[in-house]
Amino acid sequence: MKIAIYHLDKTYRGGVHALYGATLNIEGGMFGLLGPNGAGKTTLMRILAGILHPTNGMLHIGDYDGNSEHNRNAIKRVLGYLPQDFGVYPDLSAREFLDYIGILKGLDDRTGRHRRVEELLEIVSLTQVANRKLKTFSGGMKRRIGIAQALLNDPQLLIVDEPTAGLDPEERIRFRNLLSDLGGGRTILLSTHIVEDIAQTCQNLAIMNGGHIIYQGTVADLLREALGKVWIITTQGNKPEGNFTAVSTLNMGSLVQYRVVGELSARAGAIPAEPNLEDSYVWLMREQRLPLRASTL
Amino acid sequence: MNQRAAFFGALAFEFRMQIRRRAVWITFIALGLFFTQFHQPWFRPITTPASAAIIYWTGIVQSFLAVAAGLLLADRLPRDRRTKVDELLNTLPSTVSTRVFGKYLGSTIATLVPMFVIYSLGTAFILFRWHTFQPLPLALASFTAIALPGVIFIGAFSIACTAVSDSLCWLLVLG
Repeated sequence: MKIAIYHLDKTYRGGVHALYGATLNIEGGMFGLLGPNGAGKTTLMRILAGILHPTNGMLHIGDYDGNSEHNRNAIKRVLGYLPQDFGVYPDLSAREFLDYIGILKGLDDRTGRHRRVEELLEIVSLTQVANRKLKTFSGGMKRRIGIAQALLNDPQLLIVDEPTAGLDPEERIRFRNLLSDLGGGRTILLSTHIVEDIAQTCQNLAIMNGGHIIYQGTVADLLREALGKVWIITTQGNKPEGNFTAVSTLNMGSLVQYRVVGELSARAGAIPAEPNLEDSYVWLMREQRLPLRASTL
Repeated sequence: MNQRAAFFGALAFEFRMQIRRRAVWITFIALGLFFTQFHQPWFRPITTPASAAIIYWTGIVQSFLAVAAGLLLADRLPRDRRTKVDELLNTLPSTVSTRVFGKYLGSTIATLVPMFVIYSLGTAFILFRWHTFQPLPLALASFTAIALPGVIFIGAFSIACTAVSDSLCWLLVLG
């Protein structure tokens, strides 16, 4: 399912400008939306999910024009959404909660709906605790229920907003693998400020900052942007000076190793390193004063 | 999208959540115990008609228990925001009006159950003390005609007030 956004603006009451003329084209598959807190990712997700109305701009999701109320309701039938702040009814069990959401999603056939609920509980590995009340669930377990409810109607468009925030490393890996397995023929929009989530799951991404989309393209192209910009500098403890951003610091006893991103060129003791996605992200954030940089998807 | 199915689904699950609330049962049981001490229609002289005791008992239930029902229903809609379920619910194809109407009806019926239990216990004691079942239809009719409409109205008012005030706050904050 394709998503096309043209010059989308969103200004909240009180004058908070969350989106500035966002333009994005998503062909399908796993698509990452990366950016710091306050970049406008959640606002964009909420507009796509039909919760918020844009102030200006156009939005097309599949064959639907997202600017009309009728079409927004049609989009909701093919949408699965996992919000950033995912809440549950604490006194319902996991099975009951999924059943309730399934009814509200239009799964009228009771037998089919129950079968679907059991399938999804199996997929998210929560069958054993399905009759426990949701208030007894850990954060990771609630997130898994969140992804299960998003998949109830087998959506063509799946929007997950910061799905791994607050999860421990093992839960995060499990969640990422789960998302990757869902690719299939659907469009999955993954919004996060955790670079590793994108690196492990997406081939295409967009980066947002301050309400603007500052990059749209492939992960491979973004990595190429940072080629020759990543360096390893080893010192005896004193922090190196220069026009760069330190991405990591590794204390090795008497020596300290800095991984930095910036324009260093030839410098004594600086070893060039292969950029990863985090390095490229940092490099782009440094360079964001330049106009929108896009590569061919 | 079958809105009728969504309505009955909302009704069923909201009923389930409300009937499971300990606060609902504790409130009505506590009020029932209170009335046994301080308002005692059943200890009237046996020479007075049992029907008078029934009507008095219905009046107490309608006055006090109905207010308690309203208070117990007032948080049903704001609860969606408090538990952060509302954002998810707003992305679903079922309409807001369908969900809210199902929520109202399901929660109200669930709240009526313990209220009717307390009323029935008081009525049963009156019938036992007067050794007659004759006023039983009067008891049922009184509850239906006097207590029930009160709870239905108060429940709707409670939920509507919080819905309006909540929506106004939401609009002012987010636009």
